[in-house]
Amino acid sequence: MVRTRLRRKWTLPRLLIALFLLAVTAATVYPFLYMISVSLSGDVYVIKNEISLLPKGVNFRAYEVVLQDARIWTSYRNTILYVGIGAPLSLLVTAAGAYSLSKKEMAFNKTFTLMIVFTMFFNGGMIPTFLVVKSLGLVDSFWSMIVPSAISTWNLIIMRTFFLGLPKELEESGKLDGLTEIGIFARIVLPLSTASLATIGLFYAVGIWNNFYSALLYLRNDQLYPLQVVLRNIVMASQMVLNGGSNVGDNQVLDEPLKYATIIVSTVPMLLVYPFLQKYFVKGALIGSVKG
Amino acid sequence: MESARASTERTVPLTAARSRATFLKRLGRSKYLLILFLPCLVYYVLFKYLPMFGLVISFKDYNLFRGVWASNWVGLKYYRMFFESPDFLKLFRNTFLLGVYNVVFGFPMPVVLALCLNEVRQALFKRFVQTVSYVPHFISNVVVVGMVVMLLSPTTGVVAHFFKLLGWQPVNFLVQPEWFRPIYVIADIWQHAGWGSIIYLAALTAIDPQLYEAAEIDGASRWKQLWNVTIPGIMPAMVIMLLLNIGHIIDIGFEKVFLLMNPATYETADIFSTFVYRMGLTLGNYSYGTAVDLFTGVVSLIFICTANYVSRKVSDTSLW
Amino acid sequence: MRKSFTWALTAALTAAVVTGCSSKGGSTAAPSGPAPAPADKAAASPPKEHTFTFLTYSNASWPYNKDWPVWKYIKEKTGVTLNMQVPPDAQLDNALNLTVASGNMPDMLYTQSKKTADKFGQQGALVNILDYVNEMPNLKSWMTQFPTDTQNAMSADGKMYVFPNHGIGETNRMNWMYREDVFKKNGLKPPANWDELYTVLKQLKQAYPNSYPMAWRQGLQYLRNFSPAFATGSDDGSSDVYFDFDKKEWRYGPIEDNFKKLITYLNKFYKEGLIPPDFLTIDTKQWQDLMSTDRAFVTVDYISRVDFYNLPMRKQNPQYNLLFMPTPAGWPGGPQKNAYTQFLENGIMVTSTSKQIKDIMHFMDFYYSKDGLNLVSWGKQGETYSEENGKKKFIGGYATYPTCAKRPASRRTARIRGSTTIPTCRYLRPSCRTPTSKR
Repeated sequence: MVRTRLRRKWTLPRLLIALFLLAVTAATVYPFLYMISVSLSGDVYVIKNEISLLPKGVNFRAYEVVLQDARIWTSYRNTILYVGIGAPLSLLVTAAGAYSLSKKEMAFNKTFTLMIVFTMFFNGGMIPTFLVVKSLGLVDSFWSMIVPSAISTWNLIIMRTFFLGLPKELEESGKLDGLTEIGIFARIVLPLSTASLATIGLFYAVGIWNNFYSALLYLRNDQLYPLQVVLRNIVMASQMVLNGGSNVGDNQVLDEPLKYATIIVSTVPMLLVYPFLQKYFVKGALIGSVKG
Repeated sequence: MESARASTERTVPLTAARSRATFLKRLGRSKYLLILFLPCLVYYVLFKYLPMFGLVISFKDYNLFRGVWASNWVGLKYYRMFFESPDFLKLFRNTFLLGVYNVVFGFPMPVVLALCLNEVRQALFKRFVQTVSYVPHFISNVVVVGMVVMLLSPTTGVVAHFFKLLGWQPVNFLVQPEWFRPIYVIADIWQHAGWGSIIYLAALTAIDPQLYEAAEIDGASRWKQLWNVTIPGIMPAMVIMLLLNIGHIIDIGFEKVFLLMNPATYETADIFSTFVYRMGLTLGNYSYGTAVDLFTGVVSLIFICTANYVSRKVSDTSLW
Repeated sequence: MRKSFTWALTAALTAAVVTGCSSKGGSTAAPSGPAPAPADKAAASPPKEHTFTFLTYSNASWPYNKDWPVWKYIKEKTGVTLNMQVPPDAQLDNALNLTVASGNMPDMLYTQSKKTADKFGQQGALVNILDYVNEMPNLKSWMTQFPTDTQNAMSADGKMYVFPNHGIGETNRMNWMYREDVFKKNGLKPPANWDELYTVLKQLKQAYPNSYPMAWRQGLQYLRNFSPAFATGSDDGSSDVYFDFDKKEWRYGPIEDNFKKLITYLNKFYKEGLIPPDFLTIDTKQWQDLMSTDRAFVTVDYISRVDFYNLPMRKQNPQYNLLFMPTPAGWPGGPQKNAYTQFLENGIMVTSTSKQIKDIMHFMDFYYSKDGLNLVSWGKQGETYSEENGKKKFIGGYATYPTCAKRPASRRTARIRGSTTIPTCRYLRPSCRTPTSKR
């Protein structure tokens, strides 16, 4: 309590700290504000570099062009499918595996744990993995975005740590009711772990949403491209947006607003959903930090 | 300990049969657990261990159409080729320096951020800063690099714009090799510093308040408290994070480097993994690429083991 | 090379068209079925349906669109549906390497360089087209008609891994251009040499401080366009050797003194902000933005870019006038030469792993027929063009392709192109106003 009294003083160090934190916040927020502003601004202002914080000559033409682009929609749909199918699948496999690993009585428990932890420090590398994925016939298929990266060892270990912390009594009551381990897992453990499952599920979802690597390595068919690839093609490989992206004159939309609009369109869902899910993410990071 | 006992038992013939019996029993008893574990096992075997055996192609002249077994053995040809090529030193330097800079500059930032946040008493302000600073962690590398590329454009980027206001010449950051590492590291800090602070914040709340009270009674200043109570309190977390970071020095993320680099910056930007991608996958030199893969894997294993060893000796904290 | 030649030209163009225009999106048409290809009457029975996978690229200026009517017409004529993989143009080489290296190849591949075709061909990834030439009556007669072009498509070991073309590069003529209206307003006249160019750009920069008076796209590639005026040469980055026709020998540009003069100028331009600081990485879209927003006034590009800019820009600024500019000589009295850019090695390759090689050959043969040529050059009678007294004319939105009125007489060939192939492009992709551009 002594401390609180002392800290109420508005000292110079505390002022500096507050300023520093404000600077951090500004550095995080500003790029987004800037991108949104440019994407909404009129050409004249963009050309003269007059946008620094707020949009000028507000219009939505860049967004009209971007949203008319079929590639954006196709890839959006693909990404949603990858996330929608991949995340639950990963979650299920991870939870089941982690549960088994949390049971000391499972045969080979030690071997399996070692085997899994080892992959965190050493792996076959890009090309051997590519060849395996290829020989499984996954290259250029829907599943190449889901299966080769289905389990994150980190998440698996977090889950296992969590399951280790569950009270044994719960499961024993299940055993008395004549449930097998699978039954206990499905009927007792899973319902009790919804918060952790949500956390890990979200990590998987974000991972798949942001996954560019798998698409780069395994996908050639543009009908399967996830959002990240299309985004990269438009923003960095200068593949223009359809329907007017390459016009000059009356219908011209400048390069920067177009690219910024593309970035915003593909990032907004994440930014909108994030504040509501933040507590789960934080929780996940904390489970991970508990040494287990 | 257990395994030691098991092996002694096995040396005694009589008990061997018994242990096999108990083993089978154990297997039978845990069959449902094993079933639950099966998908996981299949995944690890297929996508983690099979590729390790695939590393064998680095000792062969792998031909895609002939397959692994029919390809000819060439021994260390590709390793020799790699070590003797001018790329080797360049790649090693680039990978190493990028990783080291990333740790040196990237590691302290979350700690500082957490310490600062810890001083803030206005809960609302604290929550706001936290929420905002976590966001970039969830933004994809593609978006981050896209933003970097756009914002740094010397003609239209906002950075060039500010340079002009200050009367400086705009710099074409993205094609200048000497700027690659700073840009990469800054982008990485921007992305992950906020998120990285979570762990330290948690460690900070776990410090016993009585320690502070005791320090105060001893007349320690805030600054002294910081050094004598706070820092030691989060030291284990710091060591673990540092170890993990060091472990990733060689194994630095492929995506962001790949997206951020261009032929003009290969000189400083090209790292092992991007080289493997280019050599191996885009040019089809599978064996050569795999040799580099294996080399990278071994070096990074050495790194993490050494880091762990040193840390255990020095600070009693280790990953295993 | 004139009228009697039209047919042949067209035949050649077909390939050109196939590669040039359709490549953007892809496609082409094909005869399928036994051998109904050549004649106009072939359409009697509906062609058998095939689907071929095809790796080509999407051009930045006319991104691939599966709704282009050409796909429909091709399907009608040949029964072929092309299943496209379209990486951005800058990534075609990468995509080709990846695809071939992975062994997972589509039926057809598109390349922008014959070197690639020969490399993959000799690795066994591609079909030797000559092995199937008996399946392709149209190609066969085309080959006797154009022995040189046929030769150009052959590899050193006498095989052919890429379909030959004739004249695909015709739309790729390039020239200097300048904003006549801006020059006039500031009392400037087109520079005759690079010294004058420097002075002019300097004055423009003073008048428009926000501008980079000279701009081009895609970086060092354009050294090729500048170097002839310095009596030296450069290719577009793949190799810098050039043939000196006066001395009858191969020379390597970048080590020549004259080349250094060029670079010295560019360095000066760069330092003084006369060219954009990111000139190395400026892409098509960024360059278009500069040119259309009064931030660049002198450029070098494909000739049809005059119309690409003038037509739409005049709607908002009637003064806007981009004109061809005589090539500035490297030094007073020096050569005023442009690069010869109208030869392209682009072409379609067939992969050895394809299960439909013969069908593809029939399909491709169609483009060496009059009918196929007509289809990809003009489209469909009544929908994209009309015919009166044997003269074809584009109709509807397909008719607005630039008249070539302002072009110098020496650009005769370009005119021919203007009335045949370019409209083709336009027809293939209604939003396009430019001819094929490389990369």
